[in-house]
Amino acid sequence: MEGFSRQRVLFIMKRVRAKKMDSKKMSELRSEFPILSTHMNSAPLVYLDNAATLQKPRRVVESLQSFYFEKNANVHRSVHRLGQEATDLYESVRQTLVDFLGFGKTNEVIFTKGTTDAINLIARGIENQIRPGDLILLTRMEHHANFVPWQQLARRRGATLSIVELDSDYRLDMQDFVTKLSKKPKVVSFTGVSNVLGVVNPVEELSSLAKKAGAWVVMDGAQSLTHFQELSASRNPDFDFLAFSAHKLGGPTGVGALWGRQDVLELLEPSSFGGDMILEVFDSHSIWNELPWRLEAGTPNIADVIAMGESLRFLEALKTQEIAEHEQDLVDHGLELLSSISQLKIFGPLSNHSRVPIFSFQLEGIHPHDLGSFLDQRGIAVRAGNHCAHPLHQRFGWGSSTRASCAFYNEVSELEKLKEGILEAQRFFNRGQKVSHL
Amino acid sequence: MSSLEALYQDILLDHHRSPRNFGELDSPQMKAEGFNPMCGDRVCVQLNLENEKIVSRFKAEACSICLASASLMTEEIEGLSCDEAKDKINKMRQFMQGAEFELEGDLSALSGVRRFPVRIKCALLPWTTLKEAIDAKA
Repeated sequence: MEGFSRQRVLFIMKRVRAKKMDSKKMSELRSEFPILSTHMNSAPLVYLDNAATLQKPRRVVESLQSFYFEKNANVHRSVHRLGQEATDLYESVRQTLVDFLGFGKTNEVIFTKGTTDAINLIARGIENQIRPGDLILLTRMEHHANFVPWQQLARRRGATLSIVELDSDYRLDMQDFVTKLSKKPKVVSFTGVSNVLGVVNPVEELSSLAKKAGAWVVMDGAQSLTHFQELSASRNPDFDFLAFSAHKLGGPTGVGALWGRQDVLELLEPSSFGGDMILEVFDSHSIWNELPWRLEAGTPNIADVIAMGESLRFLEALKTQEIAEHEQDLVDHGLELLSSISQLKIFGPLSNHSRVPIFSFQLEGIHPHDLGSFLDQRGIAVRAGNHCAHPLHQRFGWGSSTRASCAFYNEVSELEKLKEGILEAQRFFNRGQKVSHL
Repeated sequence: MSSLEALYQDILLDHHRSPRNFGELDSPQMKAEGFNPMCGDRVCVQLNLENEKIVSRFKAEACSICLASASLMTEEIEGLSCDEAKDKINKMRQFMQGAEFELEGDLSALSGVRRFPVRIKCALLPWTTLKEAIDAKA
């Protein structure tokens, strides 16, 4: 593994503009998340697996309870008042999302099971418009959710996948993007934020270039919406679709949404059929309902959609300069702490701009799985593996990596505990071994 | 002994650092590859039978538990028949699933794994791969 020592030399940090967040405010924020004050393996939980799923604020869980205790009924089909109230609550979340995003219309919001489901909905929905030889353009940093549906679509239709590679700082190679875009892909799909590298992609630029090239533009927003530095950037998007999952925003698992521009949503063929998505059913054929219900077959995930609305309202209130600066503080300290550890190589940009506090790394001589178990014994929850991004790991020859991913409720002191844990792991696993190379 | 020390006993770390029977056979009669998509662990097991007795080699890109388990496994099955090796596989599987007996000899270094349910798969991967190799031949 070369480059372990060189990396620290290359580490240059722009002077920190971030301020330390007020500690009283921070403890108030953390107290909204009861799990953050629990213990794991007899140590206070240090939850650094937020890119996998965010913890849930109290009000999201309370929303689930109050729906089931006070408002539970099926939607769109009841004459009774309870049913109407449930329908109103469910439908109102479309507006909540539009408000949160700052763009779109309520009939452009499709509720799904999550990001994966949303992207599959698009890929299935445009299947008939993809012809042999068509091009689908993705990037090297995609999660499997934004890779496999396109790969399978390409296989079914004889289309070709093209992949934008990364530059030496693990950011998208824009020149490669422009070159590949000149081949006129039918679809361009990219993530807003890499779940492994922590890179924030220039979504506006990518979208507007792809749109000008005549492509349908899809943005995987799974990692984007909880990170606040870049939120204002997407007020008037050029992309056609945005997919995300509620559970990464503090909402429940198994629910999410697809936002699509109405004219392109109209092009999507339904791929799931049944109740709610139809207007009329005859023996031989059916007539589809209008958007958005056409793409929501069956009784939806009512309570979880409503709870997702709560998580969006919670996040909306957090969209402040202070939180954005706190996140930047986590980026700066994370990079500084991790790159001060010998034998540690960060997989992601060492520059601190357009970056979120997601840190993937490898330690020489200690497998991520072993490190993960070791840290877990100190209450520190990290992810070990390849983070549903095999194409990225294969490209760089990384077997697997350890990932520490922060959310707005994490504190610099937790990153310090991470560093301490890594140093202890090095002592533990290197015991009885000659360490002449150190 | 803390549970971490129980998991990472010295003998296990020793097998991790200097795995036994690591490498490839010239022309293996049996082989299989095991992969854990969750963590990326990959193990290849190769076998030859000489007078019905097993000679084995393995290669792995894996965590220390998986690698040491593979190394210990190859020592354990050296010179056994295929049926005897299958008995060892079953025994290891039963142990990891909670059966009430102790692992013997060097294999006991894997005892601590049971307290870490998410790591049981790591320890078992070489053994399930060995089973695949033997079964593929039959």
